[in-house]
Amino acid sequence: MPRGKQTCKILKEIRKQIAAENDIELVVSECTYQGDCLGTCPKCEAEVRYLERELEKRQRLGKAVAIAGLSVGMLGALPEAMAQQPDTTMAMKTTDTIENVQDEPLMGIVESIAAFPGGERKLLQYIANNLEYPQEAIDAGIGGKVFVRFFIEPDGSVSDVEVLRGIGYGCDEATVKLFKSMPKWEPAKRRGEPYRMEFSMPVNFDFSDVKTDK
Amino acid sequence: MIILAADMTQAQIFAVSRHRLTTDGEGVTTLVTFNGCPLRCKYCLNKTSWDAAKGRLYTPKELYEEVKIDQLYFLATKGGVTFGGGEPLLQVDFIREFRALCGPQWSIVVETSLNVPEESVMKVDEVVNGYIVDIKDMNADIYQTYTGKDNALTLKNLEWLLQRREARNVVVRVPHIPNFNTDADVQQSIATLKSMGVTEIDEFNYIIR
Repeated sequence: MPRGKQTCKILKEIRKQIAAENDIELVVSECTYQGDCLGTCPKCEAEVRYLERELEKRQRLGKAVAIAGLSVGMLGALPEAMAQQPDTTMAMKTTDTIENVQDEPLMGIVESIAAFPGGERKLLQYIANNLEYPQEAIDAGIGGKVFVRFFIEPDGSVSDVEVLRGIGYGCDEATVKLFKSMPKWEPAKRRGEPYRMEFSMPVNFDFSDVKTDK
Repeated sequence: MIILAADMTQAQIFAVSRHRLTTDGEGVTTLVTFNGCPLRCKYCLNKTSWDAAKGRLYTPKELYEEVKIDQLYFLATKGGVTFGGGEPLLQVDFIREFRALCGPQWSIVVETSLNVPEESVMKVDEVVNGYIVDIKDMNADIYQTYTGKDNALTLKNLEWLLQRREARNVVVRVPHIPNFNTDADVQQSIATLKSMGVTEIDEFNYIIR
Protein backbone atom coordinates (compact mmCIF):
# COMPACT_ATOMS: atom_id res chain seq x y z
CA MET A 1 0.00 0.00 0.00
CA PRO A 2 1.42 3.45 -0.88
CA ARG A 3 2.64 5.43 2.12
CA GLY A 4 -0.05 8.11 1.83
CA LYS A 5 -2.86 5.57 1.86
CA GLN A 6 -1.30 3.78 4.80
CA THR A 7 -1.08 7.07 6.74
CA CYS A 8 -4.70 7.85 5.84
CA LYS A 9 -5.81 4.46 7.12
CA ILE A 10 -4.02 4.84 10.44
CA LEU A 11 -5.27 8.40 11.01
CA LYS A 12 -8.80 7.22 10.25
CA GLU A 13 -8.47 4.47 12.85
CA ILE A 14 -7.32 7.05 15.40
CA ARG A 15 -10.37 9.19 14.65
CA LYS A 16 -12.63 6.15 15.01
CA GLN A 17 -11.06 5.31 18.37
CA ILE A 18 -11.51 8.85 19.69
CA ALA A 19 -15.14 8.84 18.53
CA ALA A 20 -15.90 5.43 20.04
CA GLU A 21 -14.24 6.22 23.36
CA ASN A 22 -16.18 9.46 23.71
CA ASP A 23 -19.50 8.18 22.43
CA ILE A 24 -19.43 10.36 19.35
CA GLU A 25 -21.24 9.24 16.26
CA LEU A 26 -18.80 9.21 13.37
CA VAL A 27 -19.78 7.77 10.05
CA VAL A 28 -16.65 6.88 8.12
CA SER A 29 -17.00 6.02 4.48
CA GLU A 30 -14.37 4.20 2.47
CA CYS A 31 -12.20 6.54 0.45
CA THR A 32 -12.49 5.86 -3.27
CA TYR A 33 -9.80 8.28 -4.40
CA GLN A 34 -7.31 6.49 -6.64
CA GLY A 35 -4.55 9.06 -7.09
CA ASP A 36 -1.53 9.89 -4.91
CA CYS A 37 -2.70 10.43 -1.35
CA LEU A 38 -0.83 12.73 1.06
CA GLY A 39 -2.33 10.90 4.02
CA THR A 40 -5.01 13.48 4.57
CA CYS A 41 -7.58 15.37 2.51
CA PRO A 42 -10.35 17.94 3.10
CA LYS A 43 -12.75 15.15 4.07
CA CYS A 44 -10.32 13.72 6.65
CA GLU A 45 -9.63 17.20 8.01
CA ALA A 46 -13.35 17.93 8.28
CA GLU A 47 -13.75 14.80 10.42
CA VAL A 48 -11.05 16.02 12.80
CA ARG A 49 -12.73 19.41 13.15
CA TYR A 50 -16.07 17.67 13.76
CA LEU A 51 -14.48 15.56 16.51
CA GLU A 52 -12.98 18.66 18.12
CA ARG A 53 -16.36 20.39 18.16
CA GLU A 54 -18.09 17.33 19.60
CA LEU A 55 -15.44 16.91 22.29
CA GLU A 56 -15.75 20.54 23.26
CA LYS A 57 -19.53 20.18 23.42
CA ARG A 58 -19.14 17.22 25.79
CA GLN A 59 -16.70 19.10 27.97
CA ARG A 60 -19.08 22.04 28.14
CA LEU A 61 -21.77 19.69 29.44
CA GLY A 62 -19.41 18.57 32.17
CA LYS A 63 -18.69 15.17 30.63
CA ALA A 64 -15.22 13.68 30.82
CA VAL A 65 -13.38 13.41 27.53
CA ALA A 66 -10.81 10.72 26.83
CA ILE A 67 -8.07 11.47 24.34
CA ALA A 68 -4.64 11.31 25.96
CA GLY A 69 -2.71 8.27 24.85
CA LEU A 70 -5.83 6.59 23.50
CA SER A 71 -4.22 5.36 20.29
CA VAL A 72 -0.67 4.74 21.44
CA GLY A 73 -0.84 1.01 20.73
CA MET A 74 -1.97 1.57 17.17
CA LEU A 75 1.40 2.76 15.97
CA GLY A 76 3.36 -0.21 17.21
CA ALA A 77 5.51 -0.66 20.23
CA LEU A 78 8.11 2.03 20.02
CA PRO A 79 10.21 2.63 23.12
CA GLU A 80 8.43 4.68 25.71
CA ALA A 81 11.48 6.86 25.30
CA MET A 82 9.73 10.02 24.33
CA ALA A 83 6.57 9.61 26.37
CA GLN A 84 7.63 11.23 29.60
CA GLN A 85 6.29 14.60 30.49
CA PRO A 86 9.05 17.17 30.50
CA ASP A 87 9.77 19.74 33.12
CA THR A 88 7.60 22.68 32.31
CA THR A 89 9.05 26.04 31.51
CA MET A 90 9.08 28.75 34.06
CA ALA A 91 6.43 30.60 32.12
CA MET A 92 4.08 27.63 32.27
CA LYS A 93 4.54 27.14 35.96
CA THR A 94 2.82 30.45 36.48
CA THR A 95 -0.39 28.85 35.24
CA ASP A 96 -0.55 26.92 38.51
CA THR A 97 -2.17 29.99 39.94
CA ILE A 98 -5.17 29.94 37.61
CA GLU A 99 -8.19 29.20 39.73
CA ASN A 100 -10.99 29.12 37.22
CA VAL A 101 -9.78 26.00 35.47
CA GLN A 102 -13.13 24.88 34.09
CA ASP A 103 -13.30 28.09 32.11
CA GLU A 104 -10.15 27.20 30.22
CA PRO A 105 -10.87 26.12 26.67
CA LEU A 106 -10.62 22.44 25.81
CA MET A 107 -7.03 21.69 24.79
CA GLY A 108 -6.60 25.24 23.60
CA ILE A 109 -9.35 24.90 21.01
CA VAL A 110 -10.79 28.38 20.74
CA GLU A 111 -12.27 30.35 17.91
CA SER A 112 -9.83 33.17 18.32
CA ILE A 113 -7.39 34.36 20.91
CA ALA A 114 -7.31 37.98 22.02
CA ALA A 115 -5.30 40.21 19.71
CA PHE A 116 -3.77 43.65 19.84
CA PRO A 117 -5.18 45.90 17.08
CA GLY A 118 -3.12 45.08 13.99
CA GLY A 119 -1.63 41.91 15.47
CA GLU A 120 1.46 40.88 17.32
CA ARG A 121 3.90 42.87 15.22
CA LYS A 122 1.91 46.04 15.94
CA LEU A 123 1.95 45.19 19.64
CA LEU A 124 5.72 44.89 19.62
CA GLN A 125 5.94 48.12 17.66
CA TYR A 126 3.66 49.83 20.17
CA ILE A 127 5.85 48.65 23.02
CA ALA A 128 9.02 49.79 21.26
CA ASN A 129 7.54 53.22 20.57
CA ASN A 130 5.97 53.83 23.95
CA LEU A 131 8.15 52.13 26.53
CA GLU A 132 10.01 54.67 28.62
CA TYR A 133 13.49 53.56 29.60
CA PRO A 134 13.83 54.92 33.15
CA GLN A 135 16.69 57.36 33.66
CA GLU A 136 17.63 55.41 36.78
CA ALA A 137 18.22 52.29 34.67
CA ILE A 138 20.08 54.24 31.98
CA ASP A 139 22.39 55.75 34.60
CA ALA A 140 23.06 52.33 36.11
CA GLY A 141 23.45 50.66 32.67
CA ILE A 142 20.69 48.16 33.51
CA GLY A 143 19.03 46.08 30.78
CA GLY A 144 17.18 42.77 30.51
CA LYS A 145 13.72 41.31 30.33
CA VAL A 146 10.72 42.12 32.51
CA PHE A 147 8.20 39.27 32.44
CA VAL A 148 4.71 40.67 32.71
CA ARG A 149 1.34 38.96 33.10
CA PHE A 150 -1.96 40.55 32.22
CA PHE A 151 -5.53 39.74 31.26
CA ILE A 152 -7.62 40.85 28.30
CA GLU A 153 -11.17 41.29 29.52
CA PRO A 154 -14.24 40.47 27.40
CA ASP A 155 -14.54 44.19 26.57
CA GLY A 156 -10.92 44.21 25.29
CA SER A 157 -9.43 46.20 28.15
CA VAL A 158 -6.12 45.26 29.76
CA SER A 159 -6.38 44.38 33.45
CA ASP A 160 -4.51 42.90 36.42
CA VAL A 161 -1.07 43.75 35.07
CA GLU A 162 1.55 42.09 37.23
CA VAL A 163 5.32 41.72 36.95
CA LEU A 164 6.25 38.03 37.28
CA ARG A 165 9.98 38.64 37.18
CA GLY A 166 11.47 42.08 37.10
CA ILE A 167 14.85 43.76 36.82
CA GLY A 168 14.26 46.80 39.06
CA TYR A 169 15.62 50.31 38.53
CA GLY A 170 12.16 51.55 37.55
CA CYS A 171 11.83 49.13 34.60
CA ASP A 172 9.10 47.06 36.29
CA GLU A 173 6.97 50.15 36.99
CA ALA A 174 7.52 51.44 33.43
CA THR A 175 6.28 48.12 32.06
CA VAL A 176 3.15 48.11 34.21
CA LYS A 177 2.43 51.72 33.27
CA LEU A 178 2.77 50.92 29.57
CA PHE A 179 0.36 47.98 29.71
CA LYS A 180 -2.19 49.85 31.82
CA SER A 181 -2.35 52.66 29.26
CA MET A 182 -2.55 50.33 26.28
CA PRO A 183 -5.44 50.64 23.77
CA LYS A 184 -8.20 48.04 23.88
CA TRP A 185 -7.59 44.64 22.27
CA GLU A 186 -9.90 42.40 20.30
CA PRO A 187 -11.08 39.99 23.00
CA ALA A 188 -10.76 36.21 22.77
CA LYS A 189 -13.88 34.48 21.50
CA ARG A 190 -15.32 31.06 22.01
CA ARG A 191 -18.52 30.12 20.24
CA GLY A 192 -18.86 33.79 19.33
CA GLU A 193 -18.78 34.90 22.96
CA PRO A 194 -15.93 37.09 24.21
CA TYR A 195 -14.16 35.79 27.29
CA ARG A 196 -11.28 36.73 29.57
CA MET A 197 -7.84 35.52 28.51
CA GLU A 198 -4.54 35.50 30.36
CA PHE A 199 -1.29 36.47 28.68
CA SER A 200 2.32 36.78 29.62
CA MET A 201 5.26 38.16 27.72
CA PRO A 202 8.77 39.41 28.22
CA VAL A 203 9.43 43.08 27.62
CA ASN A 204 12.98 43.79 26.59
CA PHE A 205 14.90 46.72 27.98
CA ASP A 206 17.85 46.94 25.64
CA PHE A 207 20.27 49.61 26.75
CA SER A 208 21.91 49.78 23.32
CA ASP A 209 18.63 50.95 21.78
CA VAL A 210 18.32 53.97 24.03
CA LYS A 211 19.16 57.25 22.44
CA THR A 212 20.64 59.63 24.98
CA ASP A 213 22.46 62.92 24.71
CA LYS A 214 25.33 61.54 26.72
CA MET B 1 -2.22 31.53 29.47
CA ILE B 2 -0.90 32.66 26.11
CA ILE B 3 2.76 33.53 26.03
CA LEU B 4 3.43 36.22 23.47
CA ALA B 5 6.56 36.24 21.35
CA ALA B 6 9.54 37.50 23.25
CA ASP B 7 10.88 40.56 21.49
CA MET B 8 10.04 38.92 18.20
CA THR B 9 11.80 35.58 18.29
CA GLN B 10 11.81 34.29 14.75
CA ALA B 11 13.43 31.43 12.91
CA GLN B 12 13.90 30.38 9.32
CA ILE B 13 12.11 27.08 8.73
CA PHE B 14 12.46 25.22 5.48
CA ALA B 15 9.90 22.47 5.95
CA VAL B 16 6.90 21.49 8.06
CA SER B 17 6.04 17.87 7.40
CA ARG B 18 2.82 16.49 8.91
CA HIS B 19 1.66 13.01 9.84
CA ARG B 20 4.95 11.25 10.28
CA LEU B 21 4.20 7.98 11.99
CA THR B 22 6.82 6.93 14.51
CA THR B 23 9.71 8.03 12.26
CA ASP B 24 10.87 10.87 14.51
CA GLY B 25 9.76 9.83 17.96
CA GLU B 26 6.61 8.31 19.34
CA GLY B 27 3.17 8.67 17.84
CA VAL B 28 2.01 11.00 15.13
CA THR B 29 4.54 13.79 14.72
CA THR B 30 5.07 16.88 12.67
CA LEU B 31 8.67 17.41 11.64
CA VAL B 32 9.82 21.03 11.65
CA THR B 33 13.20 21.66 10.07
CA PHE B 34 15.19 24.80 10.82
CA ASN B 35 17.75 26.45 8.63
CA GLY B 36 21.27 26.96 9.93
CA CYS B 37 23.80 24.30 10.92
CA PRO B 38 27.30 24.40 12.43
CA LEU B 39 28.33 21.25 10.56
CA ARG B 40 29.15 20.68 6.90
CA CYS B 41 28.59 16.93 6.53
CA LYS B 42 29.73 15.56 3.21
CA TYR B 43 26.52 13.58 2.61
CA CYS B 44 24.12 16.09 4.18
CA LEU B 45 20.54 15.36 3.10
CA ASN B 46 19.42 18.95 3.46
CA LYS B 47 22.22 21.12 2.16
CA THR B 48 19.74 23.97 1.71
CA SER B 49 19.57 23.99 5.50
CA TRP B 50 23.16 25.24 5.69
CA ASP B 51 22.06 28.70 4.68
CA ALA B 52 20.58 30.27 7.79
CA ALA B 53 18.99 33.02 5.71
CA LYS B 54 16.82 30.68 3.61
CA GLY B 55 13.42 29.26 4.40
CA ARG B 56 10.23 30.89 5.62
CA LEU B 57 10.41 33.14 8.65
CA TYR B 58 8.13 32.05 11.51
CA THR B 59 7.46 33.28 15.01
CA PRO B 60 6.79 30.49 17.53
CA LYS B 61 3.14 31.53 17.54
CA GLU B 62 2.85 31.37 13.77
CA LEU B 63 4.28 27.86 13.81
CA TYR B 64 2.01 26.82 16.69
CA GLU B 65 -1.07 28.10 14.86
CA GLU B 66 -0.05 26.07 11.81
CA VAL B 67 0.75 22.76 13.47
CA LYS B 68 -2.03 22.65 16.08
CA ILE B 69 -4.34 21.40 13.35
CA ASP B 70 -3.04 17.93 14.35
CA GLN B 71 -3.47 18.35 18.07
CA LEU B 72 -6.03 15.55 18.41
CA TYR B 73 -3.64 13.09 16.77
CA PHE B 74 -0.75 14.28 18.95
CA LEU B 75 -2.75 13.81 22.14
CA ALA B 76 -4.21 10.45 21.17
CA THR B 77 -0.82 8.97 20.23
CA LYS B 78 1.47 10.86 22.64
CA GLY B 79 3.06 12.43 19.62
CA GLY B 80 3.88 16.04 18.89
CA VAL B 81 6.55 18.03 17.18
CA THR B 82 10.06 16.96 16.25
CA PHE B 83 12.47 19.79 15.58
CA GLY B 84 15.24 18.95 13.13
CA GLY B 85 17.31 20.81 10.65
CA GLY B 86 19.79 22.09 10.18
CA GLU B 87 20.53 22.23 13.85
CA PRO B 88 17.49 22.87 16.06
CA LEU B 89 19.58 23.69 19.11
CA LEU B 90 20.63 26.91 17.40
CA GLN B 91 16.98 27.93 17.97
CA VAL B 92 16.59 27.26 21.66
CA ASP B 93 14.60 30.41 22.47
CA PHE B 94 12.19 29.57 19.67
CA ILE B 95 11.66 26.04 20.99
CA ARG B 96 11.15 27.29 24.55
CA GLU B 97 8.54 29.78 23.43
CA PHE B 98 6.89 27.11 21.31
CA ARG B 99 6.61 24.84 24.38
CA ALA B 100 5.01 27.66 26.33
CA LEU B 101 2.41 27.96 23.58
CA CYS B 102 1.65 24.27 23.04
CA GLY B 103 1.57 23.37 26.73
CA PRO B 104 2.98 20.29 28.44
CA GLN B 105 0.92 17.61 26.69
CA TRP B 106 2.64 17.57 23.31
CA SER B 107 5.83 15.62 22.98
CA ILE B 108 8.74 17.71 21.75
CA VAL B 109 11.76 15.85 20.41
CA VAL B 110 14.91 17.41 18.99
CA GLU B 111 17.02 15.75 16.33
CA THR B 112 20.43 17.24 17.00
CA SER B 113 24.17 16.85 16.55
CA LEU B 114 24.66 18.28 20.08
CA ASN B 115 27.57 20.23 18.56
CA VAL B 116 26.34 23.45 20.15
CA PRO B 117 27.30 25.47 23.25
CA GLU B 118 26.53 23.70 26.52
CA GLU B 119 24.15 26.48 27.61
CA SER B 120 21.93 25.71 24.61
CA VAL B 121 21.49 22.10 25.71
CA MET B 122 20.82 23.14 29.30
CA LYS B 123 18.19 25.65 28.18
CA VAL B 124 16.38 23.34 25.79
CA ASP B 125 16.50 20.41 28.21
CA GLU B 126 13.86 22.08 30.38
CA VAL B 127 11.25 21.85 27.65
CA VAL B 128 11.90 18.75 25.54
CA ASN B 129 10.80 15.14 26.05
CA GLY B 130 13.55 13.41 24.17
CA TYR B 131 16.55 13.59 21.92
CA ILE B 132 17.60 11.89 18.73
CA VAL B 133 21.33 12.48 18.63
CA ASP B 134 23.13 12.25 15.30
CA ILE B 135 26.51 11.25 16.61
CA LYS B 136 28.21 10.60 13.21
CA ASP B 137 31.28 8.76 14.56
CA MET B 138 32.82 8.77 18.03
CA ASN B 139 36.32 8.88 16.56
CA ALA B 140 37.38 12.54 16.64
CA ASP B 141 39.39 12.33 13.41
CA ILE B 142 36.61 10.69 11.43
CA TYR B 143 34.13 13.20 12.81
CA GLN B 144 36.38 16.11 11.86
CA THR B 145 36.93 14.82 8.34
CA TYR B 146 33.26 14.12 7.76
CA THR B 147 31.71 17.22 9.33
CA GLY B 148 34.49 19.80 9.20
CA LYS B 149 34.26 20.27 12.97
CA ASP B 150 35.61 18.58 16.07
CA ASN B 151 33.29 16.63 18.36
CA ALA B 152 34.43 17.85 21.78
CA LEU B 153 31.19 19.75 22.44
CA THR B 154 29.08 16.83 21.22
CA LEU B 155 30.71 14.46 23.69
CA LYS B 156 30.53 16.91 26.57
CA ASN B 157 26.85 17.58 25.92
CA LEU B 158 26.05 13.89 25.56
CA GLU B 159 27.72 13.15 28.89
CA TRP B 160 25.74 15.95 30.53
CA LEU B 161 22.48 14.61 29.09
CA LEU B 162 23.18 11.05 30.20
CA GLN B 163 23.84 12.22 33.74
CA ARG B 164 20.61 14.15 33.84
CA ARG B 165 18.22 12.14 31.71
CA GLU B 166 17.04 8.57 31.74
CA ALA B 167 19.03 6.92 28.96
CA ARG B 168 15.85 5.81 27.18
CA ASN B 169 15.09 9.46 26.41
CA VAL B 170 18.29 9.80 24.42
CA VAL B 171 18.32 7.84 21.17
CA VAL B 172 21.74 7.91 19.51
CA ARG B 173 21.96 7.32 15.78
CA VAL B 174 25.17 5.72 14.57
CA PRO B 175 25.58 5.73 10.78
CA HIS B 176 27.74 3.64 8.52
CA ILE B 177 29.22 6.43 6.38
CA PRO B 178 30.64 5.17 3.07
CA ASN B 179 34.28 6.15 2.56
CA PHE B 180 34.52 7.77 6.00
CA ASN B 181 34.12 4.98 8.54
CA THR B 182 34.36 1.20 8.53
CA ASP B 183 32.18 -1.43 10.19
CA ALA B 184 34.86 -1.73 12.85
CA ASP B 185 34.70 2.04 13.47
CA VAL B 186 30.94 1.82 13.88
CA GLN B 187 31.22 -1.06 16.33
CA GLN B 188 33.85 0.89 18.25
CA SER B 189 31.50 3.91 18.43
CA ILE B 190 28.68 1.69 19.70
CA ALA B 191 30.92 0.13 22.35
CA THR B 192 32.05 3.56 23.54
CA LEU B 193 28.46 4.84 23.64
CA LYS B 194 27.33 1.82 25.65
CA SER B 195 30.15 2.35 28.11
CA MET B 196 28.89 5.91 28.56
CA GLY B 197 25.44 4.58 29.45
CA VAL B 198 23.61 4.95 26.12
CA THR B 199 20.93 2.26 25.78
CA GLU B 200 18.97 3.40 22.73
CA ILE B 201 21.25 2.99 19.72
CA ASP B 202 20.02 3.21 16.15
CA GLU B 203 22.65 1.80 13.79
CA PHE B 204 21.92 2.49 10.14
CA ASN B 205 23.44 2.96 6.67
CA TYR B 206 23.78 6.17 4.76
CA ILE B 207 22.57 5.58 1.25
CA ILE B 208 24.47 7.72 -1.20
CA ARG B 209 22.52 8.73 -4.26
